[in-house]
Amino acid sequence: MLATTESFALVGTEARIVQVEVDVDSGIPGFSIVGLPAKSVREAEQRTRSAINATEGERWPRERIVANLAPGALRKEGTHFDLPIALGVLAAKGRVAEESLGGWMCLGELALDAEVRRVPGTLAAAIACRESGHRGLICPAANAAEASLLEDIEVVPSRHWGSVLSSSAQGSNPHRCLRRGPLPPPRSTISPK
Amino acid sequence: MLARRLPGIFPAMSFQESLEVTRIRSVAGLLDEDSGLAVARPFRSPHHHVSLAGLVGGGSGIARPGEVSLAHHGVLFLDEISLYRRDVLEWLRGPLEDGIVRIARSGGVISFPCRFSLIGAMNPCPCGFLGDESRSCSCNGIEITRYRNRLSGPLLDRFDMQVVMTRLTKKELMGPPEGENSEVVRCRVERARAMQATRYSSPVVTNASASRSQLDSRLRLEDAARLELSAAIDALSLSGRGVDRLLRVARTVADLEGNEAITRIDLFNALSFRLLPSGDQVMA
Repeated sequence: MLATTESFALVGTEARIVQVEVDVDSGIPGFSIVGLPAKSVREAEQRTRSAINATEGERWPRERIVANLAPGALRKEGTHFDLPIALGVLAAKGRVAEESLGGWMCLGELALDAEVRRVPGTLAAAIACRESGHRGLICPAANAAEASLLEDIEVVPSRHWGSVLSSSAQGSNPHRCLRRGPLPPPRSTISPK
Repeated sequence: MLARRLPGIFPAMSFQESLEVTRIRSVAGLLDEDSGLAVARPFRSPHHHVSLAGLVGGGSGIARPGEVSLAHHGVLFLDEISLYRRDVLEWLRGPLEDGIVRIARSGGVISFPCRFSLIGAMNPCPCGFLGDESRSCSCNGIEITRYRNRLSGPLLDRFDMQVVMTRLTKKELMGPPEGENSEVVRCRVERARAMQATRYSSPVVTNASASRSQLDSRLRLEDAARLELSAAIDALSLSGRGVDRLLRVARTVADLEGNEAITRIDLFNALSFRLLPSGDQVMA
């Protein structure tokens, strides 16, 4: 199944919108990424794989995964594609409601333990987000201060990948319906007294 | 130390300017965690081993902003400017004139804004004592010429103000700091900027950034000043750019004095900042 999320690529101080298409299909298990990615983008595979596996209830699919960063002729560099790729993989598997990502730009580097790390160019992305009429930005918590400088877009800071996925249904958090289905029981076996 | 104080006498940045500065810092990955809008004007002092890509921007992979862009709306300070690689320095010419760096790549042209104040510092000669009253210089003429020639004439021409700094006296070194603090000077600068804002009917246009036609249509010289200008053009063999820069400095001096038209004294003051017409003329 195919899922699309949106992120950005830097050209000078300007951020251009990039569509991150992820296709998870039957075939020999593997991951490939196309659309002129630099090494830092290609290495997203290892980070997103570990981050997804570190998330309760989620597994990296043992299928053929292709990620396409469009427009394909624009060179992409940076680790901020981790978050949109990871969201795309889960959306393609139907674990995340793709429609809840519509109108949002996502960026962030993932740690192997699924922490969301800061990335450069967030303010440029926020400006592009506003100019292109997007609703808002899902960004690392460490970049939230610069992203919030513009008043007309919403900013969803995330410190941990799990919080992007399974934020509770309270308040105006747009991610309340991100994950489909009930949350699986926790893996830990500590039983209540 | 003097150069480091300069951002302090500049007027505060507008929100738009702050946003531009923050954006460049963000792209360069220099923003600290939780740091929002950059309020202070940038001050950048790259080491003299800085590469072309480091100073002007570019580099392998996607183009990154260089020191000139990181100094956008602030100060770029090149200490011991004669130690910098000459080819790297020469690349400053375009960005200084245009306020923008354009890097042509196979995929297209990438541009970074870079409106900065450039400050260079250098010794008068290799030993550093030329013109000193207490010690005599041990350099010969060829050495001095070679030292000066590391800075090309056209680049030197782009420095609007050249100031000879004499050695501090013992009293100045040991005594309490004299002179005004930055706050007081900034008030004067803000007053002069206000005059410019009225003149050009825009809060962002200054004497330095006004277009030639904007400047010409509003430039008033007293007759005595006009005579001095024509004499100076002959005596100092000023270039077209030299005259343009001189008039902009003179206009600024007049603004600081609160004069509507540029007086002869304002012009003299502006002329006193052009000491080194070219690298081969050694000052007295």
